[in-house]
Amino acid sequence: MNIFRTWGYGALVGGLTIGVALAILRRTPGAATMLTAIPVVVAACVILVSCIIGADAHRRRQAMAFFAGWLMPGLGHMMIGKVAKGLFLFGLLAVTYFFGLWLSGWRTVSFDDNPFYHVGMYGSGLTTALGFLLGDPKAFPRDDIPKAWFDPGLLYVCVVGLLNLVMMLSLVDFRKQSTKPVTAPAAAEPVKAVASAPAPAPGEGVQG
Amino acid sequence: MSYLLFYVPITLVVMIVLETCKRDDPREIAKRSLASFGLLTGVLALGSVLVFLINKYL
Repeated sequence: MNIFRTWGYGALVGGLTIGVALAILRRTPGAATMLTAIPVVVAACVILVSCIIGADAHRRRQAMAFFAGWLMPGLGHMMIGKVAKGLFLFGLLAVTYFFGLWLSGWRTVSFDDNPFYHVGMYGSGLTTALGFLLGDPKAFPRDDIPKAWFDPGLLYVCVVGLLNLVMMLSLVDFRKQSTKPVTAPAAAEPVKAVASAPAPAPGEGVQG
Repeated sequence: MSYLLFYVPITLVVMIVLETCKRDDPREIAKRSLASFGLLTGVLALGSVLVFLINKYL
């Protein structure tokens, strides 16, 4: 299953690279979205299946938590038993996200607004879904607030997706920590043995 | 109100999320987040002053 996981990671990185490269070139937004979305979805499915099939129950739970964390911020932490932390992170990101939406006139970041901010929205399934539901070809600054606040609003919406990626990576780190074998403190025994060993006779340790 | 003030909440949110992912103790999270926020703000302020002085006198 490792070969599938490797191909999955490769497709994930390749898809994101192609998407960002096309975003930089600002050519064909639809093609950029499709070329990013298809490899990412395929890679995510491959990684998820390989993690679930070729691992023990603990690792399967961690893999499911990782992908649940993408679907909804904080859900992965709740699945591994850190309910309070998951709720806190979800609340924090929700407030930030809706504050950004309020600033940008309840419209998410479209590709024409800012390609980089648009790609950042894919960091969470919830923000991706809201992006499709609330998305417009072009967001417009609100009339009742200063126009200079519009760009920070887009930034707030984007940062939530990026922070969710960090939260997902912390779940991977938690998996490594939790699978580390617990070792008993065995340092005292050799010290005691050395201390109780008879002292060598003069010249005994000299070779030749 | 200058839009630069939006720097404060978003930076605090980023620092809190980063520290929450690393630690479990709420007091430690708050302390470290504020320390990181203060350090980052100080570095940015010093850099801004430096750029201002370079532009003005050099």
